[in-house]
Amino acid sequence: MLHELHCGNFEEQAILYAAGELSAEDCGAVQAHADQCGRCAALLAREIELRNTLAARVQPADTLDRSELLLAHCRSQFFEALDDAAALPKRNWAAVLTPWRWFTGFRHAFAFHPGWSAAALILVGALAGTAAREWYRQIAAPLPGGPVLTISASAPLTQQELEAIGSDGIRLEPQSGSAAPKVELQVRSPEPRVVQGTPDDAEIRHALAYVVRHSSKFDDGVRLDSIDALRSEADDPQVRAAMSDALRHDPNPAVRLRAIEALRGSDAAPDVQSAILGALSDDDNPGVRIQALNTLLERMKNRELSRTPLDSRTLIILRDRMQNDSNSYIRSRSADALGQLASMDEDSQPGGGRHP
Amino acid sequence: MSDVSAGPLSVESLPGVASGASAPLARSGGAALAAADDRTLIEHAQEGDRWAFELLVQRYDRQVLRLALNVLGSAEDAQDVYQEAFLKIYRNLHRFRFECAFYSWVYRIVTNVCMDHLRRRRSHPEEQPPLVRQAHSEEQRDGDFFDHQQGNGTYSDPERQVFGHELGRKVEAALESLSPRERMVFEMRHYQGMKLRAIAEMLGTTEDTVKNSLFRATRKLRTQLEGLR
Repeated sequence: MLHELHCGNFEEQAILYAAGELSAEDCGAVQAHADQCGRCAALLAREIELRNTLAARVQPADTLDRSELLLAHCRSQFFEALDDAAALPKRNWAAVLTPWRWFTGFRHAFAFHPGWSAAALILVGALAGTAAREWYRQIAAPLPGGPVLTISASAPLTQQELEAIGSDGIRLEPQSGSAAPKVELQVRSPEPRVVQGTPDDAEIRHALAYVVRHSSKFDDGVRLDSIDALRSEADDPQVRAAMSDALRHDPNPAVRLRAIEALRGSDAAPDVQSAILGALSDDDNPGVRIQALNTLLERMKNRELSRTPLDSRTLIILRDRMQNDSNSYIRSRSADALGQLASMDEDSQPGGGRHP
Repeated sequence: MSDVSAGPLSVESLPGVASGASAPLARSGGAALAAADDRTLIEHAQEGDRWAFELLVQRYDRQVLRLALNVLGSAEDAQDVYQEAFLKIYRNLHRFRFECAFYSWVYRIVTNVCMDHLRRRRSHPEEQPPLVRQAHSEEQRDGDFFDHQQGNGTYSDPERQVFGHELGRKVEAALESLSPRERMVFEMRHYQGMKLRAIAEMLGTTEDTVKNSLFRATRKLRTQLEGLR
């Protein structure tokens, strides 16, 4: 180990020498070097002297507990602590999860952390406010199986009020199952008020139809939700007109598609037929055109619906799509539709033509 | 050179390490256990045998308390270390897997607790009571460090007595200036007589790290005590 012992590393070896950490061979090497070097010999002597000085120090343990009374005291105290530890019930998860323990923990945490306390108060206040609002709404709503007649004192929505409704003033709350969604309208001017109800209510339908019609005023999400809410009310001419309007003019193809879906089953109405044919003929979105064509085909297959006359433009538009549509699926399906139309024609010959 | 490092305790002299450990207490039916080796006692204690654990404590607590008294210089602090260390040992005994010597494991816990106390003392010196060894120790009543070094008969020399007090205080102050780790290494090597390799095992570090701590401690002590010798 000490093959490279020299004045530069002698100090550390001297410390180890004085500490008794060197082997006999290494001790010999240290002494041999000290014999040759006066400076290192002085360093070694100084190290040994330091050790002797420190070793001569009376250790505190010799004076503080000479009679071992402290040791006896420590033992008895520790064994008592062991008794206490053994007497304590073992901690388990059930104990940790007891409400009282949680309450105590929270109490201590909040007592010593004012910031946490303030944050908790704000949170509790916000939650309580939200819950109270919901509770108030629930007790304010008519109870199921309650009075047969519902008398509403609210005045019908005027055009001015409808125009005052914004996207953020409409809240649609879907209900479980097939129940109609709850709708809340916040009318800001001229006299701010909140109108609540379902699409069964005429005022709500009127307002939602207004939303569906005005794509520039209401965002896509609100329009889509409104169409969904009105789906079950498509028999209402006002609703059908709004859907047809959306199918013709809404800039968002998703809204137009949703409008076609909502109009299924009501496509016997002339205005709806016209809107669907218009979409098949003019819509720049192939998805919308396909949906319009499929709706038309469904109607043709439905015997009950097929008894109602088709729009006079149907044949012309189907021919045009078969020949000119950029989408091959539409061309192919248009040919199918024309074939089906021809067979319907043959079937109806004795009874007269349905379309020109 | 005399082996000045040989303190009152060496690893080899730790009770329980050598076979045939003495039985300090005898309880009815427990004599065989009292004479058992550490492994048997540990296994019994791990199974919940309180008597076996008490025997283990009594095999080691004298050295633990001595170490704490020497390092902390305060009976109150040493008492705290005793309680804290043995409670830790009690609570963690089930984790001991005989992968090292039991005394190493015990000392690792004790040294950690001692170093925590030293660190607290350094960070909050105002909260510490005055050291017993400086104020009320029997050392002062019976004679100071210098008297012990020089032998009896120094009380009659007031000048020498004053110088001895002064040197004793300087040594204590010099030891207080060491970092907790340096203090522990120096104490265990110099006053407990443990080898550096054993100290490294107890502190959970390498022998080289312990050596470096010893070098630093020695240099600090040498510098602080330079003018007194």
